[in-house]
Amino acid sequence: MIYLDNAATSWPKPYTVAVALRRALSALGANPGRGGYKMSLATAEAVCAVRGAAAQMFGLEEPQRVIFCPNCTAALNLAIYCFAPEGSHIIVSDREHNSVIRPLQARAKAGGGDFSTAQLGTEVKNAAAAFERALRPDTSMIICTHRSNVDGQTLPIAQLGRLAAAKKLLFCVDAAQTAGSEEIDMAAWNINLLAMPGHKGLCGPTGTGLLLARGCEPHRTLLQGGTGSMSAGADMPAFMPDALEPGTLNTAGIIGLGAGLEYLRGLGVKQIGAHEHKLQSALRRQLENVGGLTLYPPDGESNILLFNFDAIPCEKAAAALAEREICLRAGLHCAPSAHLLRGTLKSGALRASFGIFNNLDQVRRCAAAIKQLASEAAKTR
Amino acid sequence: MNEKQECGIIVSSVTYAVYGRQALERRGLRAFTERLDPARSGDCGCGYGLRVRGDCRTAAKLLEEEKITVKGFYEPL
Repeated sequence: MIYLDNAATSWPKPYTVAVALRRALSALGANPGRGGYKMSLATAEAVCAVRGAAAQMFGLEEPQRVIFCPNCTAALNLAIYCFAPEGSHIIVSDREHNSVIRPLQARAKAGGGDFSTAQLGTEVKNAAAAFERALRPDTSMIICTHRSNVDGQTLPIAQLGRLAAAKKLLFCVDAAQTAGSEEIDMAAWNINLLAMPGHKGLCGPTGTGLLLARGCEPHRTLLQGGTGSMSAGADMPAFMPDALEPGTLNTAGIIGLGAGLEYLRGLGVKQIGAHEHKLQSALRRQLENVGGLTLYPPDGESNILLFNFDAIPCEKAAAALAEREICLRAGLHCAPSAHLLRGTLKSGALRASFGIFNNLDQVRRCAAAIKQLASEAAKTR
Repeated sequence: MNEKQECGIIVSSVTYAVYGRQALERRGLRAFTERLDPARSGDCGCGYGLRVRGDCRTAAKLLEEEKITVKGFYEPL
C-alpha cells in the first residue's frame, strides 16, 4: 500500500512512538496532577517533558503555555473562543479550513463577534495588504493557515506577523500542515497562538493536538472541570495550562507525541520539509504532460499536490486508485473556500500529500497508476 | 523552616511543581515534589508543593525568576 494522505494524518508512525505508547500504558498509567505517588509524579514529569520539547521546537519560552488538546480543531476553538475578546472582530484568510470557519460562524451567530475574510486570491505575496484592507477598529485577531490543506500553498506568515504586531492584534496561525515540516518560530514571527495537530507532521498518535500561547492570556474557558489544582474553588484556575486543560489528559497520546517530536529533532525539520517537497515535485514532474489530467498550482515548495482527472469524478478516481493500493484523499478536504479559489468547489479534487516515510519509488508507482487510469479513461471516451 | 534546613513551597499545580523542581535543581538546590493536603495548601485546596533542602527565600526567589508563582509556604512533615 502507498499512503499519500499525510495531510489528514501521518502514517506510518515512527517505531519509537509505538514503543512510547506501550511504555505509557504499562509504566506511566497514572493520572498526572492528581496523585502524589511515584507513578503519578513520573507521568506528570513525562507530560511536562513533552510540553518542553514542543515549546523548544516552536520558539515558545514558557512550556507551561503549551496546552494539550484532542486535535487541531480543538486548539483552534480554544484560540477563537478563549483569547479573542467577546464581541470583537476577527479576520481570516480566504482558504481557511472548516476548523476555523465553523467556530467563527457559530461565534458570530451567537452574537460573540463577527469575522471578515481577507481576499488574497491565488497570489499571496501581498497577503498583509489584503488583511489590512479588512481591518476595523474592533478587530482583535488575525487567523491564518500557514499552508492550505487543499493545494499546499504556503502563506507569508512572517509578513502577517509584522502586520499583527504593528496593529496590536493577536496573531493566530493554523499550522496543521506545516508543524513538523517547516521550521516555525513564534517569537521571530510574532505569533501569539499556534494551533497544530499532534498526529500529522509531528508523528504522534491520533487524539493529540496542541495550542501554544505566547504573550496572551485567556479571558474565559471553554470547558470546565477538574484540574487537580485550586480544588477548593468552583472557578477554573486562571493560570495556564490548567485553565484550558480540564479533565484527565490523554497521557499515553502525549507521551507518544513526545517520541514523535524526538524523532523529528533527530532528522531535522528542515530536512523533512525538503524531502517532502522533493516527492511532491517529483510527482508533479511525472504527471505534468499526461493527457486528461489537470494539476493545480502552486508549483512551489509544498508537500501537497492537488489534481483532477478530466474525465473521472474525483471520488471515483480515488476509489480506482485505492483498488491499486494507492491512498489519496478526494473531495473538498473540509476547506471549500480554498477549492473555490482553484475552481474546484463543484467537482472536488484529488490530493496527494507526502510524509516523512514516503519515497521516490512510491512516487514512481503512484504516477504509473495515475497514468494508467488516465489512459483507460481516454479509451472509454 | 525546620532544623534540617527543609522548607515547603506551595505552587499552583503539578506542572509548576515539575518545572519548579527542575529550575531549582539547575541552580543546585535539591527539591522534591509532593502532594499537599488541603490544610497545608493555603487557599489552593488540593495542590502540590516543593520540599526544598536549603534556604526557602532563595528558592522562592529563584522560582519567581522562572515565572513560577509561589502561592505560599508550609512546614514539611
